[in-house]
Amino acid sequence: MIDTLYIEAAVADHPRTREICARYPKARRIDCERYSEVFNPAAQNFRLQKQKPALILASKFKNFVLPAPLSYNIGGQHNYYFSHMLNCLYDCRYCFLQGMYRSANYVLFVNYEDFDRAIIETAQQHKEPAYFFSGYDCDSLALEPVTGFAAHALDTFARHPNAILELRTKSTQIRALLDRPTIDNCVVAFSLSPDSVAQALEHKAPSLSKRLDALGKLQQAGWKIGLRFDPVIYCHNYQTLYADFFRQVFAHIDLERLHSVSLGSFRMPHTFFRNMVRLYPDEKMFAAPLTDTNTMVAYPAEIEQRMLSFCKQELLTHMPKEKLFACTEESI
Amino acid sequence: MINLIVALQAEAKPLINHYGLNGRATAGGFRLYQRDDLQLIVSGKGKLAAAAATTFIADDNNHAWLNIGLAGGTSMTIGESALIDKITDHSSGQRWYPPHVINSPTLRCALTTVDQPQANGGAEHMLYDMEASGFYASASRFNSGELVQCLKVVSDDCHNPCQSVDAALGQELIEQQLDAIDHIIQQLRQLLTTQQEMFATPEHMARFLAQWHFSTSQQHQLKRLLQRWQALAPACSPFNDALLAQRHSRQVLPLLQQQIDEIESYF
Repeated sequence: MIDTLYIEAAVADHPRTREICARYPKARRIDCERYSEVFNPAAQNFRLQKQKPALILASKFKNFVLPAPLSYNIGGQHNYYFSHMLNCLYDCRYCFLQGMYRSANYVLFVNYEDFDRAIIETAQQHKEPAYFFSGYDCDSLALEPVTGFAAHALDTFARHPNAILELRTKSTQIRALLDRPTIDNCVVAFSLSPDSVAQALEHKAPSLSKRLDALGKLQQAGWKIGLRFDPVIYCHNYQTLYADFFRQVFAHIDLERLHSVSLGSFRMPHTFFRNMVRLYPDEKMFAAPLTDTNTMVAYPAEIEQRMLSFCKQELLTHMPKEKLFACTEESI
Repeated sequence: MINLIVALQAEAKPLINHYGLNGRATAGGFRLYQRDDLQLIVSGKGKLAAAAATTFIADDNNHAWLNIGLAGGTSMTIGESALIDKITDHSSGQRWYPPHVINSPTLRCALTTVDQPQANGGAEHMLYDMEASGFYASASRFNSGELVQCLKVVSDDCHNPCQSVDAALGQELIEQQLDAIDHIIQQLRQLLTTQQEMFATPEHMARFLAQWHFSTSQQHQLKRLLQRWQALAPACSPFNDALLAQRHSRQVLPLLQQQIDEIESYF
């Protein structure tokens, strides 16, 4: 439950600010000049703040749309991401956000129309479809009842079929999608992990079965579905764990509605990983054998290749090869 | 350690009595009181004095910090208390936002730190004091903002100017807030415990350091290796025959790493 709202001066009178404030009538409201005053100071601890994050309402001024990292590739040539929100409701132990930001507060940029303009302009630069990934610095749907961003974005994308939207989520907040007609240029991509991994590492996120249930409903309603097995987590029983898991997931999948599957193992920029270990030195996942090249931390190449090759082989028993994409990258 | 910073002896007295704090002879011109994990320093009036007192009791350890004091303001009733979630330094315009993760029924309010007492009660929804900006600017250099908090008790407003607040009233106003203060201190203790988990020295570290000589850089490596050991095999001791047979730390570290990499972990 959000009990504190920081409100940037520039958006104090914005209609979305007023709507969100009305949702939290008892929340303490604190005005600030710029969201960075609250979000960026060094004297903050992500782990402590995650116990009770506040919501910061702000305006974004530039860099609405940025080129996506190489790992964000589901078949398009032109890949971009945008972040209408920073930070996530969930507390996944492998998430780079906890290593990147000092603050666990959520920042919501309420000037959605500026994102629209940037997306349209970017899509118009290409003859081929341009892909826009929304779940990079946040979960695309987790806070949808409050933000209404996905509903807004879908209206925009519905008018621009050359722009493909990926909503990446672990959430079951799918009401906004079920309540409207489907559009062909949107993929609702669910990040999934085996149940035991999800229970151990994906704190506060819906269980695997709830995510599969939400996925099933969207699929039935006609939405294109994506599956994101990223990061795959190494453990000694990974073969039985992931083989059983893929069987469980694909029992829910209609291959006709399946847009894409992506697969990647855990990797993290060195500085983010160092910060994450400082926050959770006793975390079992961080204690696994990992190699540190001073820029990236990842499983040793031999383990990574063996694990990914196994997962790929297993996945291809359930789905066609042309829909499977590898998450390979140099940096996040 | 929970550090309490108060400006005046009258504000300190109810806290000293309530927590049974004992005076400590100290250099530096500050009165210092302590018992168990509580430490109280009387800073004197003003933000510079508050900053100096804070720095005086800070050391390498992670402390929680609570500035307790009187404040003026028209938006609250005299005798009410508030946790401060925005501090503005009036003379510099600088602002701080102490993050609030503690669960407390205490009201919250913004505060401006001024150099001279406010005569007219000031703006609405704002408290005024003379220490908080100095305290917060200093204490937040020593620990994370979640563990640096200010609790202010309203002592004066436009109808009851600060000149009318004497030591007896100040003492009484703080006394009335002891339950709220207790609650906040308890919450800070819990946060401090969580933070201490992050910085804890791993089990077995001391025995390693006693057994072999490690350079500073090797000690960092050893600490991380022992954290990994603790995460993967908390019930086992790393002191096996192979390790104990090593003479030098440069042999110990790779062997320990190899043994950790071989520990099986399951989800």
